[in-house]
Amino acid sequence: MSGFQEYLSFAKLHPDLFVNPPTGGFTIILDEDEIREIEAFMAQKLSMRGLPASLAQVGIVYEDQYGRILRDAVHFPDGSPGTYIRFVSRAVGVPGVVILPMYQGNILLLRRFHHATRRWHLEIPAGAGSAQLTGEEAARQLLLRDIEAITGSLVPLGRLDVGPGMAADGAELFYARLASYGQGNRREGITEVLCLDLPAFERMIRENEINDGFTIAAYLHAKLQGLFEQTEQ
Amino acid sequence: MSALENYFAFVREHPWMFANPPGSGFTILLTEEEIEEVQSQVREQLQKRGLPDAWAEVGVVYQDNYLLILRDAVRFPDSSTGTYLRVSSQIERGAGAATLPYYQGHFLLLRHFRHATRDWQLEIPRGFGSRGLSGMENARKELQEEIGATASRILPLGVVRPDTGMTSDVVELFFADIASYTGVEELEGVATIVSLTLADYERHIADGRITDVFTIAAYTRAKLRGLF
Repeated sequence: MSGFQEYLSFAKLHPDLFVNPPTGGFTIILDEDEIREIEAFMAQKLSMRGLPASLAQVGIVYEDQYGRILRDAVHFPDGSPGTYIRFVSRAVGVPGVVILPMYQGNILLLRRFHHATRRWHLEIPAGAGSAQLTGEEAARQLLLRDIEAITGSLVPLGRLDVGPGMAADGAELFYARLASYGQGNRREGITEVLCLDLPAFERMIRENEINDGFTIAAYLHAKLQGLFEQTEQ
Repeated sequence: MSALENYFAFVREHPWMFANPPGSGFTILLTEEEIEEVQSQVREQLQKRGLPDAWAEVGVVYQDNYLLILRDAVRFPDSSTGTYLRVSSQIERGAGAATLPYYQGHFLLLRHFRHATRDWQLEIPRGFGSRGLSGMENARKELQEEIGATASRILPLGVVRPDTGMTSDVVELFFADIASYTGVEELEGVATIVSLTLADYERHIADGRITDVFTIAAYTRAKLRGLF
């Protein structure tokens, strides 16, 4: 099957990813003739900027075991044609999980090295979801893997989009009351588990020492739900 | 130029992306011999799962005018080796900027359609970085271009990283006191300006009508700094 046919088959298999709103959005074009016209138009635009015409090619333009990059042909709201890229993870529609872990009234924060940034970050546990598990099950597994934690109760905090310009799946946020926890998982880049009271944690967000978007969003959701005011079980 | 030569050229041009700080645990392997060894080991693992050999290839594995994907060979903290993927959309442009606009007791948001989620999102104005412009200049430009606003005061709120596990991208956050805004005629029907009180803004976050990480992070920082 050619790359382009594979793209059309992918579109048929995942119609939700190719929804066209009645007005105002970016309309995805799936008619082959129209796509070819848009590719030719974009190739010309790119070559005027000294860029390779191959960047106009519509389809699945990158693929590996984690996901795919799609380059779609679209009509923008003003009617002009163009291409638009997006990342779709291999487990389509499975969001990641992010957990704000509480232990005896304090927040647990990880010092963790990430390959993507080549630096350490202060952040709460976060990881991929799984098509075989519910969000809550994935959250419990992640806490066990990352900090050897036994989780008591879990409270869903809502959903987060992590840069909706590009990625579609986002993350589910949780607040967890832990029965116990242990060492940080070195294999996951975790070098320290910090136990902080709420004022110290808030100061670190305020002063830019915590700049992980997941951590900040989970904190605000928990605060708005009044979870920090409740007595720990 | 071979794929590996291309990768080595990228490494020479962007050495900060290949830092191996002591104790980090995820050591990037940069000799040809080590890389080839990791590639052949990963290829074997992929073959067992019936997956393509190409996914073991170390290098700049995808690049267009917006996005770059690197697949590095690394040694993990338990001394095992493998490949590790990372994404950047800011190599050429630098950090983006997102600004929380505050006007007469209300916050100004944009409701617009996002291609990636195929849905509308409520977000504060945000844009790509722009070489030659500071974050604050970029914030002023975005306010003008997206909501037709001029600011009497702009305060930096630090940075936010949207997904440290996947991308090196970083966005500078700002708070802006808006003197006036007119909307932007060309964006009519594309992006609608929504004006929310503080209580409404928090309700929209709590009930999931606002899910954008930059919109939530800028609000949180501004609130913790007592700016409203």
